[in-house]
Amino acid sequence: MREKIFNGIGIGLLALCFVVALTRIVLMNKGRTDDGRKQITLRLAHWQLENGPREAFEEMAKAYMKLNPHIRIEQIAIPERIYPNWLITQLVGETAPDLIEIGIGMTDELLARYFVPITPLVNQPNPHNRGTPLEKTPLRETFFDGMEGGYNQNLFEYYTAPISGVTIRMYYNLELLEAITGSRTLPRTYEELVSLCEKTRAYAEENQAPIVPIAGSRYNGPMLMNLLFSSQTQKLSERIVPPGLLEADPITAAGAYLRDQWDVETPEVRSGLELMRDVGQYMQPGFIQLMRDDATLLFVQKRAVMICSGSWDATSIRLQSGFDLGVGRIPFPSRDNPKYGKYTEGGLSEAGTNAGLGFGLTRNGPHQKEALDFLLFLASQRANQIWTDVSGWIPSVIGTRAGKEVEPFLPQAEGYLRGLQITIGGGFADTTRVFNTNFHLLVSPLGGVDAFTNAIRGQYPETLVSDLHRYVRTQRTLVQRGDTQLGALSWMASRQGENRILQQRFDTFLQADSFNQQQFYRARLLVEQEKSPQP
Amino acid sequence: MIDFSLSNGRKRFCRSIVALCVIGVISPALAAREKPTPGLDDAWRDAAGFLIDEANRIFAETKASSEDQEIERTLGEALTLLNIQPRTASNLERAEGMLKKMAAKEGRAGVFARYFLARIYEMYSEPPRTDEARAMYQELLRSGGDDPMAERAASALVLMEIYENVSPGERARRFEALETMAGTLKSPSGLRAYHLNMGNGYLYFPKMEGSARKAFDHLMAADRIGITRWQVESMTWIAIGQLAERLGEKELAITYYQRFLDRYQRDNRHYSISKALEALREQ
Repeated sequence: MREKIFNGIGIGLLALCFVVALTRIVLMNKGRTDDGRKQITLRLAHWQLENGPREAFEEMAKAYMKLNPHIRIEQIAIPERIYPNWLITQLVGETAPDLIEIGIGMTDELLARYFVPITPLVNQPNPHNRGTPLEKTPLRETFFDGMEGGYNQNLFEYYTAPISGVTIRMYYNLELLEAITGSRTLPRTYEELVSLCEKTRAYAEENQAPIVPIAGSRYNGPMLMNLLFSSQTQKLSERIVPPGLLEADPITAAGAYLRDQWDVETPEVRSGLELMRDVGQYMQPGFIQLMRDDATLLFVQKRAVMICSGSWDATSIRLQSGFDLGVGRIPFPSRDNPKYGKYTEGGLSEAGTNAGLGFGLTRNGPHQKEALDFLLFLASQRANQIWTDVSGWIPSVIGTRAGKEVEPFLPQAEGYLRGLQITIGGGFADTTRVFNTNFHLLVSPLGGVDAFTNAIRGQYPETLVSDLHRYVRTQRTLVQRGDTQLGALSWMASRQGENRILQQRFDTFLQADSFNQQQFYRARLLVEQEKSPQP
Repeated sequence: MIDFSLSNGRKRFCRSIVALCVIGVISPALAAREKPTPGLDDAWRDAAGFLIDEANRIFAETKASSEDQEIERTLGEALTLLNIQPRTASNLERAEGMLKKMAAKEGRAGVFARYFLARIYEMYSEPPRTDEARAMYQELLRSGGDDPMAERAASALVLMEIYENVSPGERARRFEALETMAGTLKSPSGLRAYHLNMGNGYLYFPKMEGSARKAFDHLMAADRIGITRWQVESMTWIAIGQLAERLGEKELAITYYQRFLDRYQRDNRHYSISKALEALREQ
């Protein structure tokens, strides 16, 4: 009897919950505003869990909802680690939000199948820029990068209107800096950086204070060290790249290595490794075992004078630090540096920085018209002002005022191209793995440049060739995939001779296709030459 | 005797059920009628937009109403079979079979089929059937007229020839043989692709005698036709500037550097080229 009562109560509660949930859903969908319009909920998904973006999205949503009382915006913040899996599940399961941040885990296939291109809109003014100086400017020209960050070069379509940009900077604890040097002037060159590091060490010893010059981790350390490395290989790159290229792409770098134009003992590469080791010595011992949060914690706890990170961390660091924060460009060795000046051209240019952080409009979203309008609102000057003011991130829309705290992060055009990377880049995973596995030898107090080069010298050629094999396969797939598009565009273009846009698209595609084929053939030649060298 | 008569309430219930069934049957039919059956134009659009599986389904299911439409349908199906997922040997065989049937057709369809047959031999077959691809491309150049797809065979041949693993002497001979091809090409896109591949080829093998001059000539020829992809255009302009500088054509180098600086202001190479220009002007 007692059991029956409990079962009855259980079933009753279950039924009650069901009815309440059902009512809520029905009310949510049937809800109407005062002017009789149906209430709509738009969902916006992203992975920006840092301090700043979520609050900014909230404010932008509020501003939009004020203009459109019948629309409610919900943001869904997904951790970066699970974002790719979440994305694919939502898209395949047709439960995806209306707008999804494009980037992590996204492929051309997913974009083409599940997202709506916004290409037809890019040459029209953004209606949400009405009343601003951009009122009559085509959408594409309202972004500092000409909306390049929203363009997919393989699909020849714009899929997003990016709202921000990123740069890498050194963050300084100004109070510690003043205590150590008597001034709040930030180092501008590598020499000044080293001087600050030495002074910090002396200060720490003198005051028995647990302070290190630079907070490092496996995330922040290599970020700074790789940039410094590439300052030493700039002249080497100039020697090995053919005219027109200026910067060594993976095929050029790998080809030059296989043709004995450089190796891990080349003076420029060795100098880069020494520079990495030198700067690594100013980070806390064992930093390579630590995570990003550990380094940030060390810095905000006033136990490091500097930390290197991207502009995306600015608001998080600022909110947690509780001291005056200074931000400056990476201090590179100057040309007159007695040790590191010989091989460098100078600091790196950021002129080509693209805007990023853009949302794609999902194909199966129930409220596409409204979602597109919100997407355009996010890309408007007014919303971009809210974005930069609240998030502290770089704005992407021309005419948006960067606040005092954002200004140091704006891309700087002056500077040279980066030199070749020892890890080659461009998906050379095995080479990168060998580098990463032995990286501790380069930075540990007991290791050194010799220990590191001795460890990787034997493995490096083999991994480079294995990466080249993979590159050939990838490039071949890219070319094959392009064939169907090429054929379709060609057929359509031949039938619609007067369609200028289509003709242009076909023409541009032909040039992209030729380039991809050329890269395929060059990589294949390198692999074959390695197997059977010609006299 | 059983009474089959229904009470009023039951009648209403039965009528409702019947009405619901009718709606259930009619509404999908109406919905289907509202959505027109996708045609070949939709399939080409899907294929161009990377929706290859969808395009293949339309091509395969379309019932052609004329011979021309059947040719178009077959070509579309073959083209999409090359890339539907998963990529299988049997799909490739089917595509090859279909294209072979179409290869003898007159005009555009034949050119299209022969070009993609050559592509199968060159890029899809394992191991590549290089000789068959080469022969097909050469045949296309002879018989395809000024069709841009036929003239694409020239740029494909350039890549196949110069990036083959041969001795430097043999490569130089091949470059020389390919030089004669320019006179046979007529379409701007075919010529441009040929000149770009030749020019970049000479740049990639700089030890060949006279390669800088030849690279310069080919890239200039491509630029005169007009390059519409910004990545290619910017790279070509810098290359022409650097080659001109190397060949002692200072004014031309200045022109091309300046052209790059004017058009590509938001480019990581901007500062380096502005410094190069400064140095050149000071000379």
